Amino acid sequence: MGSANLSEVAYLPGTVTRSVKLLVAGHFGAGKTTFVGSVSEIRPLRTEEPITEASVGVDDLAGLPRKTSTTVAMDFGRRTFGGVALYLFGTPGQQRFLPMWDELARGAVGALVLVDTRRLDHSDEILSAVEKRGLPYTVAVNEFDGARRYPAEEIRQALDLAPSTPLTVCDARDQASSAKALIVLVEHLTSGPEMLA
Amino acid sequence: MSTTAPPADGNNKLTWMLSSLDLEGVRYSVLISGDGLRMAHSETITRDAADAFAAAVSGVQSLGKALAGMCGDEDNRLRQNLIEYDQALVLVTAAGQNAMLGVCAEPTADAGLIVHRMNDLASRLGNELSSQTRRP
Repeated sequence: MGSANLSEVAYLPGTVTRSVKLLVAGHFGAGKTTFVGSVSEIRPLRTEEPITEASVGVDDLAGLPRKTSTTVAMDFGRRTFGGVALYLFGTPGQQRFLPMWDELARGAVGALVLVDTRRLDHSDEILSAVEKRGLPYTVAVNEFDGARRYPAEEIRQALDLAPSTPLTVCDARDQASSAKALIVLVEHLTSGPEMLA
Repeated sequence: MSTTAPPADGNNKLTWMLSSLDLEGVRYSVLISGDGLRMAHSETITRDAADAFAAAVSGVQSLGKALAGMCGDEDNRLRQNLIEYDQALVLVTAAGQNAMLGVCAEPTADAGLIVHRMNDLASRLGNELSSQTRRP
């Protein structure tokens, strides 16, 4: 029932005075959909479709034995911190969906870029897509079980991050850990010249 | 892990399937997997343009599915997306498992006829039009 869905919506508290649109970006399989699902206080909107044989040779599933679906349009969720409501728009990860970012990114003030250290090289096109749109961003390493941990400095170098770009770690499956990564982004946005005025 | 095989549609073998959509006013048609990859395209569109069309159409269809729960119950299945532009009509129909047909037509084209042919093609060729899910 449509009305049943509506009754599940957690309405914005009256204390919210401003809303902010953020992108959650990252390469294929970085954990964007999981992240938005964990951190959202409303039931997230998802556009996940089964991964098909047509993607063989296009979408690299190496190291992702349990990945069976992929986001083809967007994820949407909302998280409120105090007086600020963060509207989270998750992007699809594959290159074929990059042209659709223009619409997704419209009005966004910043981006959280999720990375998996096992496929850091896949982040290049994501970082340049974010930079091309002039979005300030922070990077969060989604620490997958069984993935080797690297010193922050090595990851920074591999991603060629500017010294002013915050790098943090999270477990996208964990609500508190994901929220912390979001807070790092919000603090970065409020401290920089691109202030959320 | 099947990461080395070329895409099954490398040489556009399935184009013949789309020939029943060569109707007046139809610019091009593309067979698309649920995860946004072109499986076949009509000869009236380039491969690159068909690739981009496929990715965008899969997003439209998936958002349509996400909307289903907001305008019906859990059995509310998506049949068709129709997008009307100043300069085009875009029609999307589910075709078999994890696949869809996308058609771009003139805004003045006979949408009823096109949709009828799309449904017809989808049901006749449901099995062949499906895209199997990958087993990692």
